[in-house]
Amino acid sequence: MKHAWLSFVSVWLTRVLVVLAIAFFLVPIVIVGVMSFSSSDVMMFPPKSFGFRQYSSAFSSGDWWLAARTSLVVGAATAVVSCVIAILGVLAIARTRVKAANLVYGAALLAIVAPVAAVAVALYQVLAKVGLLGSVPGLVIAHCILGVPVSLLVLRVGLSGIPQTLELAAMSLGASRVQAWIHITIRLLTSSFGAAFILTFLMSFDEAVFATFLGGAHVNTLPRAIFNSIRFGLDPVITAIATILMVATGVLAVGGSLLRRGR
Amino acid sequence: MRIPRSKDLSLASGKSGFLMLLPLLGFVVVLVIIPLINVINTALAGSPATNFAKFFESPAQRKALLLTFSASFGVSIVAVSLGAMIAWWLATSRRPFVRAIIWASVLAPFWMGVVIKNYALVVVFAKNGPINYVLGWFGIPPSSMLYTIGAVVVGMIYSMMPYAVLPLYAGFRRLNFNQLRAAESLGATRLYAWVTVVLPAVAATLFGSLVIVFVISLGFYITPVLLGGLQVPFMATLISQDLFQYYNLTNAAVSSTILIVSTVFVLFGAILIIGWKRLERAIL
Repeated sequence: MKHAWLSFVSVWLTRVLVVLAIAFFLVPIVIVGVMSFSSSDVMMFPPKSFGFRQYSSAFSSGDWWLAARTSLVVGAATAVVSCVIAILGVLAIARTRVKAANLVYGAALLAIVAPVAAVAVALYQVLAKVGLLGSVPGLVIAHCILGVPVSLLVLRVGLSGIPQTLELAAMSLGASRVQAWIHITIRLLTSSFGAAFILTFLMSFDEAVFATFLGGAHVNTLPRAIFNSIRFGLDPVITAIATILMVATGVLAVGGSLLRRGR
Repeated sequence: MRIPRSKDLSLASGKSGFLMLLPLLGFVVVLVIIPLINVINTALAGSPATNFAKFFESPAQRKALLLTFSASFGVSIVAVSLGAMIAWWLATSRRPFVRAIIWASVLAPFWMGVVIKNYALVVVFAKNGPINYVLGWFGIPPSSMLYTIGAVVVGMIYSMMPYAVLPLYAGFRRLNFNQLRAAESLGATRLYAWVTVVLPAVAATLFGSLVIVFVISLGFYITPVLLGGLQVPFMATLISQDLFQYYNLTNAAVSSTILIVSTVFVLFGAILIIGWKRLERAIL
C-alpha cells in the first residue's frame, strides 16, 4: 500500500495516546493516596511533611462514622432486595414459558441509561407522595433502580452457565421443580449471587445523586457527606476517607469479579 | 391425553413464570415508568406552552441546555475513540503485564465511586495541585483549571471510560483476526487493514457505545457540580437548584422532561439503526 507513513504515524499516535490516557487514569488515585499522608491542614502538593493526621481526624469524627453506618445499611438492604427481584426475574426468563419476559428485562436495563437527574426528580415526586422522602427505605427503593439491573446482568450470565439438564435430572428423580431450583440451580449460583450482592452493594455504597436529591435532612450517606464537604471547600480529611474507600471498594470489587468468574 | 406440541415441557408454566416476573415488572412499572410519566405530566400541567416558554426565555437555562448536549456529544466522541484504542490494545496485547495495567487503569475509576473519583480530579486540578506543580518546573505560573468546561469534560470522560472500553473489548474479541492477517499479508498497511476489515465489523458496537455514553452523560450531576461549579451549569445542576433553592417543581420537571424525551428519542433512533440486541451489548 501507499501511505505506509500514515499507517506508521497512526499506529504510534495510538500507542502514545493510550499510554498517556492510562497514566492519566491512574494519577489521581496515586495523588489522593499520597496527599492523605500529608500532615498539613491545607491542601498542598507536594505535601510539606508526612504523618497520619488526616486519618486520626477522620476516625475521631462521629459524623463520618454515622454516615458510613447509613451507607452500609442502605447498601446491604439494596443488595438483598435487588438480588431477590433479579433471581426471580432471571429464572422466569430462562426457565419458564412466560411471554414478553425479555421486554421486561430490557426495560429494567434501560434504568441504567435513563438520565439520573431526571429519574431523581421523578422519584422525588413519588417518594414525597407516599411519605418516604428523606427516609432510609425511600433511598433503598431509589437505589434498587440501579441495583436491580446490576444483579440482573450478573445473575443472567451466571444462570446461562448452568445446564438445565441438572434440574431435569433432579426432577426425574422425584424432586419438584421448586426443589430442583432451590437445591440444584440456586446452590450452583452461589458464587454469582456473591458477585451480584457485592457489585450491587458497591453501586449503592458509591451512589451520590439519589442520596443528595432524596436523602432529605436526615439520611446522610458517606458519598453525600463527602460531596457536600467538597462543595464547600477542600478539607484534607477527605483524602484519608477517600483512600480508605478506594482500598475497600477496590478489594470488594476484585472479590466480586473473581466470584463472577467462578473459582 | 394429547400433549400440546408447541410447549417446551422442560420449562415451567407461563403462569408461574408470570408470577416470578411480577416483582421485576412491578419494579419497572412502579419505579421507572410511572414516575417518569408523572414528571412529564408535571411539566405539562397548567399551560404546557407557558412552562416550556418560561424555560427557553431564560438565557442561563438555554446555555445549560446547549452546554449539556454539546459536552455530552464531545464526551461520547472522545471517550469512544480513546476507548476503542485502549480496547484494541487490550484485545491484541499478548503481554499479561501490559494487559493487567490497562485493565487496572480502566476499571479503577469504575470502582472508585462517583464522588471519590471527581474529588481526586479536583485535587489534581486544584491551584496548588500536582498539575500546576509540574507546570511550575517549566516556569508556567499556576492557574486554576477547576471550574472550567474543560475540567468537566475531562471528568466525564474519566467516568465514562469503562462504558466505552468494555463493549468495544468484547466486540474486538469476537473478531476473526485471521482476516486482519490476511489483509496485511496481501499488502495492506496496518491502518488500511484496520479501516477496511476491523472498522466495518465493529461499526455497530462503536455506534452503540457512542449512544450509550451520550445518553448517560446527559444526566451527569456530580461531575459538573464539583469540577464546573456555578460557572459551568449543566441541566442536572439547574434541576437541583430548581428543586432545593427555588422550590420550582414545574421548572425542574420541564428540564427533566427535556432530558427524558431526548434520551428516549436517541435510544429509539439507535434501536432502529442497529437493533436492540446490539444496543443491549453496549450497556455494560
